[in-house]
Amino acid sequence: MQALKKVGTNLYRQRWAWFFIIPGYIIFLLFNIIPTLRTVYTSFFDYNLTTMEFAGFGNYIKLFGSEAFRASVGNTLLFAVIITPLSTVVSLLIATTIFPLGNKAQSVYRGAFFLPNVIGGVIISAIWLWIFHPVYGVLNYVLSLFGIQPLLWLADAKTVILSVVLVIMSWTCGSLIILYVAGLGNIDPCLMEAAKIDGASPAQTFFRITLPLLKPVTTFIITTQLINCFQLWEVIYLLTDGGPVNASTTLAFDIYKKAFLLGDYGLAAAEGVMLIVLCALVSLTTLRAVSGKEEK
Amino acid sequence: MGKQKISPGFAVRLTVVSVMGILVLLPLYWMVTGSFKVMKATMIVPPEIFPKNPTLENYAFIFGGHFPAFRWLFNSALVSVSATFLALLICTMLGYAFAKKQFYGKNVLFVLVLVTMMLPRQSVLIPLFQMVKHLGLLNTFVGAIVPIIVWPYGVFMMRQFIAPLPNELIESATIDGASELRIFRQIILPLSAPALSALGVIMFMNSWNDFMWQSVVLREVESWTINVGVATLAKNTIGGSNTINYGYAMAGGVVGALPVTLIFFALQKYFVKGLTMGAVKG
Amino acid sequence: MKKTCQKWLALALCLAMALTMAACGGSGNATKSPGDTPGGAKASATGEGAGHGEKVKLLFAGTGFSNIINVPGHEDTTQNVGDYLKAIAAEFMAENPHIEVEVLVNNAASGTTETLDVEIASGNVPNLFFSKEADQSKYMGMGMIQTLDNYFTDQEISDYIGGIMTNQNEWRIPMFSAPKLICINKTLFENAGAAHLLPPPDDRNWTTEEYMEALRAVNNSSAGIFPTILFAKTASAQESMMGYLWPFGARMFNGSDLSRTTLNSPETAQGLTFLKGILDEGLAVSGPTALTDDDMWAMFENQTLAVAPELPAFDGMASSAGFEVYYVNYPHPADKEPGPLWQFTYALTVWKSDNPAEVEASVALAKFMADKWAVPMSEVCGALPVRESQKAEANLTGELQAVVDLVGEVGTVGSGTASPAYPVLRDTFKDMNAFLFIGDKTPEEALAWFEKTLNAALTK
Repeated sequence: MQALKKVGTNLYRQRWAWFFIIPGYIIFLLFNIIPTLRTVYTSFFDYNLTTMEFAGFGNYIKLFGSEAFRASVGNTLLFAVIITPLSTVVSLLIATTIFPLGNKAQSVYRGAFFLPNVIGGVIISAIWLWIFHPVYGVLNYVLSLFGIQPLLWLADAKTVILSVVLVIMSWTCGSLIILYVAGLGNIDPCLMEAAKIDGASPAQTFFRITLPLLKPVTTFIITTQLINCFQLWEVIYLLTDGGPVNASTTLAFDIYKKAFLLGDYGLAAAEGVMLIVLCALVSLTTLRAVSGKEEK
Repeated sequence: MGKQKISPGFAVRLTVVSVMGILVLLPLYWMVTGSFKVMKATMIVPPEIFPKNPTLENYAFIFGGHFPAFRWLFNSALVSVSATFLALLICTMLGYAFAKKQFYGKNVLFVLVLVTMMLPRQSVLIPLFQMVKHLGLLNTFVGAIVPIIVWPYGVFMMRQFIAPLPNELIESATIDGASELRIFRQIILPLSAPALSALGVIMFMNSWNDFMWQSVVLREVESWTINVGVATLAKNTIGGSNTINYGYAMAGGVVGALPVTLIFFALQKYFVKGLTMGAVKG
Repeated sequence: MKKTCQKWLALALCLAMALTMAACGGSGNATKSPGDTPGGAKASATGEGAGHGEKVKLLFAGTGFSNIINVPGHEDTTQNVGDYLKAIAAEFMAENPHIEVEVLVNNAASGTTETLDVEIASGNVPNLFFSKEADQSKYMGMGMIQTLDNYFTDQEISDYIGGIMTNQNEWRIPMFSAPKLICINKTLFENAGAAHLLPPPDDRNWTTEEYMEALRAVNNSSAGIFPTILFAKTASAQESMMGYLWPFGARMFNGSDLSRTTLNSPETAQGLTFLKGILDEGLAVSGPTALTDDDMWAMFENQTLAVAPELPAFDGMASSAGFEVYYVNYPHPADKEPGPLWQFTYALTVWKSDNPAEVEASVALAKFMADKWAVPMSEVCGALPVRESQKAEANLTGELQAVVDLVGEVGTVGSGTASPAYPVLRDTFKDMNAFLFIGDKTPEEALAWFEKTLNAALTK
């Protein structure tokens, strides 16, 4: 009884928090949580859009037996491991390089890096398909000027992952750079002045002051880039079709194939659940590692 | 601003960054020049660096035909502006609560937000559609807008940007007798201006390019958004393969990219550094 | 205390959400559940006046292709994407006042059937669906399609050219189609003085020897002119590659038994060896694993490709680019007959329904569409009529008329498009070709691999 009363008073004290949370969370419940739960629910059934037959763990067993699934897990992890640190570091370097510039110059650079981000996946893929083309692509043309043999880029299992990484990086780094610039803008210039007066070198200022103050942004960028890597599908669909022979298929792409091309929605739902599990594991581990490093 | 000595290290970095900037712009160049080529000219071996016979045919096809292309542009604008505005409001509210407030189940609720972010759109397409249909929002703009405004990415972002804001500001305002709403409006929002601009641009872009959901919810040709419309027009069905008329697609891409570009440049001034200085001192 | 409180709250929240979601799930059930209609319904002779008395409501779904606009004869009712479905429905309803037809347009923008799928998932199951055949096999696999063995008379069936429609487990009504065959840039051959090596217009078949001779004669790679092209980068248009195998006696499946592939045979191995031979002799563009059918189109249009295995869709391109296009069959081994052709079909499927009157009305609508609209639609789609009785109406050019005659002469062959695993099939076939062209596997090994991989996918 006493405990309930305590809860009641606490809830009253928290009323403003609830005011800020509840409107958004109701929408969130309807359009994010419930569909997600429903997908999890569906993963335990054989679903063909009209009838649901209970299948227990059948979909999951089928999933682990699927070669495409295993390849997808491997490739998705590979993309995550390569793209996340690379894009974070590169964006940070670019952001810190352009930040000290005057306003006009800075906006030119911001625009240049961000604009590719604005174009949709279909166009980006069409453009890069041409660039990577082994017969009349501009990349091989440039290589030939240096006397290097033409590469197969997207059609070769050895180079396809790197090619896709190149596309993703040039396409998405723009928003990361903007975030870092916004984060740098949040830093009190007085701190920088104080460090300078104390005689700190630029490198020291960067590592001791800037970087730690950018931690919330960095955590955000790392987490969201990781999660984005797990969502890669449109570029894969348009650039490589998962090939050659499953060398570049990702989980999200495989889900799309299984659901909309093959019509096996239960299996696709199960793969979705596996995606969440895998993504959560990787994110948690990464966050632990990043925070752990900070404590030092 | 006094004269600053430019270190050689910085000059090198700037050069490298400039080169990278030009490189990432090249695909854009290809898109713009491609929009002025007829389809077969886009597939020539070797490629035309500059269109030999530039034509406005692609734009004429999209805008001059019987397709309500201007209507499509308007629809896209409607959806994206509404979605961005609402998303900024709601994500900031949620982000503020998660960053600065204490309440029951705060961590659980936040983790839930992150977890739903992990599931790709096509996984939840069917249950989401069922929900929207159930609520009678099919074929309405509300149905295209509302499901995307509580964007986990946005909530997460605002939380990360609001969390480091000094608590003393809020506390002193409370002591001075300011209401919660006043604090939100006059302290949190202005201080989050850089984050709000960044989120605004990214959200606008996101909803503008939210192709899959819009094509499923908006049924009537009149209510399509520009990307859906152009994609439908550009899809040739000859040969059974997914051949795309690259001329139309590029023209559509240019048209689609223009508004977002304008918004981006309009919001540039909020990225100005030192905006927070006055607030902290005051 | 607070921590346990949080845990209980989390649990309660989850439970509440699980209950809500389960409740929501209940409302998502199909309002039109598919069931089997008893066979033996009478076949109506025409599309008019089908079933009288009770009012029937149909849902007519179709894909809104961007090129099905301004359909000849119906220009003002087909101005916008998807309008053709509404126009067909309106005309049909005018003739059949007791049937009400509602239209659902599947958006073609993404290339798949998401719009239709989400509708089905929320209980709106259509009675008919018009689209490319490849879009329909998924629903066949889900058991939603009604086979039409008893709805067509033998006479009606025989009207269909080349055996494209049968009375055995027939799952779709073809409206119009285009066959994959060999498209030749005759001007290039004339320039090389080799036009006499091509089959004559009245007998468009040739042997593999004759084919190779023609390729060699037109080969001019130093001038950038390639005889032909093979491609194995994506699954797109792999039926073009399959076309080389049919004349050797290769068959993807045994009749309508789609549970195992029959491609792994000595005949197919001979066909693959032939294919590899073209590449080895340098008569095809090098690097097939990096090429797609898009490259074939681009090169053919630029007149850097003499022979393209594709649909007969180059008439417009040829006249504007200023060369003459000529359509012939794939080459056949000297000891065998000319091979059948694979058809890329736009078809209408009738879906199962509890109410037999709905199925009857659906078939009536299907026949109406086939009678009145198939030919004008085939014109805007660049495809050919599939019925003998429609050949005259179609107003075809000499070349296309010859193609239709060729189909009638050699017949059609299927590659298993009724199988829901068809996308996997194409993909696996492409991979097999990739192994073959790179030289990683011999034809026999490649076929064994294909059989093993595909059968595994078919038995799911």
